[in-house]
Amino acid sequence: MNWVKGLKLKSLRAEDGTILLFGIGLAVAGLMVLTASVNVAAMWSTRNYLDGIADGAALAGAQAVDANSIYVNGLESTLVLSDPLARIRVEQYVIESGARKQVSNFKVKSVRVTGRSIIVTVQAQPKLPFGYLLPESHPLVVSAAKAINKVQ
Amino acid sequence: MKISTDEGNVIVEFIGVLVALVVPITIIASASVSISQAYLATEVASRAASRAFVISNTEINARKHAYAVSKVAMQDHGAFDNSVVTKISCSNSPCLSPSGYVTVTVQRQVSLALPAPFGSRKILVKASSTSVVDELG
Repeated sequence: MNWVKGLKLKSLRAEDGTILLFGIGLAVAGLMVLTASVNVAAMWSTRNYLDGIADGAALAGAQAVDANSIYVNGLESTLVLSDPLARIRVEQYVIESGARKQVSNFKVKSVRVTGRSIIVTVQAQPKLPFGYLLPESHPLVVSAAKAINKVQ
Repeated sequence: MKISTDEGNVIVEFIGVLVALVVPITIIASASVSISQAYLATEVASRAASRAFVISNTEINARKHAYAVSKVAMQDHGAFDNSVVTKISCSNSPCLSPSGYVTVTVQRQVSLALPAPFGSRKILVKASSTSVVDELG
């Protein structure tokens, strides 16, 4: 039984000084959580901003009624959107809103016009304060919005 | 000469490490949450206000609606103080000209909950949103 007692004492003695290691581990874990939170918050705020831009751009694009179709089909038919005009409206909105100055590498990814509806997808790179700690140092945030022109 | 042992200091060291680590993290997290919440509030308020402006029928009503919506949105997010400023700018004159752009900027001073030795810190949080006036509305 003496060897059991000796083992217990030895193992207890071996734990002396580990509080420093524990403290360093805790500090590293805490810093990791903190930097991850800051990065996620930066991505979230970029996403939120892009949501507003995509929403506004889609609404601006939904104003691009194809006038030629009115002349050809008359006012009795359903109003449709003009694809080239919608793209111009979206671009004008992006310039007017100053989105390119607000976020880095802002880009209108796609503008899809289908009949009376338009879907605008935009993307940008969030400014991450601790981006170098992420596996992908230049993540992209993408946001899309859809608008439908309901004018009869 | 007797060398003093470390026995019995673990609890004290643990509390020391915990306080030195947890307290700053809590302060930073609290400040971050305050700023994030204020940012969300100003973003929502500016977007709602610009939409309220462009769907109004007259410019006087548009301004009234925009300010009211901005105030309500900020109050929904707990901003009842007078530190909220709402500014409206238009690309065309009059503001409600078809295809004109209306930009609403909402800003708010956020007080950070810092310990007394750090003093009172305030950060200006600002968000703006642009809406287009309906052509066919």
